[in-house]
Amino acid sequence: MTDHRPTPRPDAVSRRQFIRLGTLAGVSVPVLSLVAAACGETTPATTVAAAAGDGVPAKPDKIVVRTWGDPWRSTYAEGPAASFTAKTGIPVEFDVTGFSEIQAKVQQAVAAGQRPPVDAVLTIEERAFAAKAQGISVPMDLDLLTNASQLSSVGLPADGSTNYVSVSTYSQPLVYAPDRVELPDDLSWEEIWDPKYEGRLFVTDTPSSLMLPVAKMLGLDVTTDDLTPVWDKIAELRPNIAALGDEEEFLSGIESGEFDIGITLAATALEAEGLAWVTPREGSTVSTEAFWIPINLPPETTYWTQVFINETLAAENQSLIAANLGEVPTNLEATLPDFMKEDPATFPFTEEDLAKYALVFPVEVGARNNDAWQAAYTAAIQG
Amino acid sequence: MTVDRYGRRSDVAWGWRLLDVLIALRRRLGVDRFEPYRPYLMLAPALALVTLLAGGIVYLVYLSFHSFDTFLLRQGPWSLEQYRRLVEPPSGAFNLQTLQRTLVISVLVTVGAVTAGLPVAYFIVRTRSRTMRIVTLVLLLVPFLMGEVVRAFGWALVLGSNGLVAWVLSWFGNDSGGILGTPLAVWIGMMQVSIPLATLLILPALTRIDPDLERAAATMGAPPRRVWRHVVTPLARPGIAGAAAVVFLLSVAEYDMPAILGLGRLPFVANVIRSIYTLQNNLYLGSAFSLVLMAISTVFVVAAVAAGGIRRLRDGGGDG
Repeated sequence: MTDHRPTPRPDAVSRRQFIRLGTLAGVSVPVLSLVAAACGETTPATTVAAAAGDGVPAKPDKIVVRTWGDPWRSTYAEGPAASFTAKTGIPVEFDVTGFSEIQAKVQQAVAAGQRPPVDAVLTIEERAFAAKAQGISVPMDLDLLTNASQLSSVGLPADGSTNYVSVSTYSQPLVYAPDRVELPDDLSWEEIWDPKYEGRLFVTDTPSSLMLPVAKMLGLDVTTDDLTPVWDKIAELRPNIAALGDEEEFLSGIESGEFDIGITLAATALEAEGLAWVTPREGSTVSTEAFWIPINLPPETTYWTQVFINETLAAENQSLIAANLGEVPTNLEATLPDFMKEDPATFPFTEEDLAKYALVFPVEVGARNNDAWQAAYTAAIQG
Repeated sequence: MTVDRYGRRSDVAWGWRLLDVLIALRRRLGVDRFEPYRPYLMLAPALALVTLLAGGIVYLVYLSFHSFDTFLLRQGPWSLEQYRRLVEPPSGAFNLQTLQRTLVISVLVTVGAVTAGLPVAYFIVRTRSRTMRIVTLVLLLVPFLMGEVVRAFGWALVLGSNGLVAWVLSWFGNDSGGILGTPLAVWIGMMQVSIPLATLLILPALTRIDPDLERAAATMGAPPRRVWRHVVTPLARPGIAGAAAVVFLLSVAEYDMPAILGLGRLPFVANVIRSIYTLQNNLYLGSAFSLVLMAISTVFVVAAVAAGGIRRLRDGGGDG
């Protein structure tokens, strides 16, 4: 039996703690230097001590942020990274290692007592939750995340912790080529089981996009009920499935005419010409993208990485993320592009929209059951 | 140009001097003591490589016999859990289906590649035109000049809904829109490299066949079909077996063609292992599946090589 009890959290490095640490270092380093000098040796002054004077930690040479490739990388570079560097002088580098690989690499580095390869990880929320459970993320200091007060209910973890913070949400509606297929504005998810769509449908290779709508259709709760009927229902969709994969595969396939309809990120529809989308009346799965900070980083890096993450939560940068990525900001002060304002079912922004339209992915249960759900979904959809 | 007291020209003297230094160094270090071991030392790089690969396999075995918590990423005790998961619901039937698909298409690719490669190799060996031989060899190498993903997307254009195949099919009233997403598409994509590979591997075996044997058979009244059946093919059997083994091994490990030309609906074992690792976070389960595939592949290859070798011995143990 696996023990899923939460692991003890590593200590947060708050500003106050850092000042105390810096003061201690500021006192101890000269003393140690004197002792070393008396012994005929020289001790280089540490950056921590150098920073202790004004209460703000010394600046690291850079911070390294894991993100997805373009347009994520370029958007984060153009928005929060640029404004962070302008304000602090600290350059931001991006790492586009896969989200599974980076989690494993951070854990291996932590287990080996080494510094993780990145200073912040942008990933899906369930992986951020898993990082917290695995004890490889630090709780963040809300004194540094000043913009967190403007976040919607999906911005911070539901359990009250601060080990990660969500920067944006994305939904997975039906995206289709309107010149080849006509979908009614008011439709149920049941529509895509219709035999008239045989061989015309694309689905994602991960379960979250379909399992929540199907569970709602069947009146099941994915957090408590037996999901066998859900997988059986999904298996019945096989004759209609032309292809499955990720967003790139959706785009190349729908543009080349291999299929006409797909369940994919709403943002993906914006990357191609002439695509339309519709959210069925049951709502579509809404998940979040979140930042977390690994443990075993130098305290000053942890500090400034939190400052960077706070920058990603700033309303102006959140507005840029919305416009460039088609993901819904978690900062309620952000400005939405028109296409989002006009379609709250696909881009739920306010608390009212979220409550009315979103099938919010149950992060904790999803993270704990990811392996089993993925295996069941793969068998159902590809078997 | 001057000549030194040993009769060496000044313009080459530096080379001789360097050689003298090296010889002196060799004597001083007593390198000659190791002379009996030289063959073994020359094997060292190969042994290091094999050890590295064997180490990787041992690690896979180690992982596959442990339980693993994919949520906390923590290894559990020794266990058969991963192998149980491979065969039990919900994934058991799907894994078996994937394994069957991988093996069947790989066997079909192997048979197709060897069947197509043998006459091409024969043509290269027997043609009297040097130009034709060179042109054919160059054409065989062309598929290797581009990456597999590029080749796969190239085939996707040809086999897809708006491609050449769909266009030709429409002439016959078939408007199904290409063959992308079918086993045939995957097979065609895999054949593009497998045929040249099989040809190049069969080539040395055919080169060693004395043409007089074929002429002798023909002189005795054997038609070309019987010459092929009773002379060329048996003598080329070691090459055919080797080509079949290599093509099969590469085919069972195929990833890109099933992913791209199968539109994700016809996964091979490699695709499922990737999914297990990246989406299920379970390297331990992926290790178990890898080892199962490796064991089955090894049996296939040993059988193929043994079949080639046994026949060869029975036919007189010649060198082809």
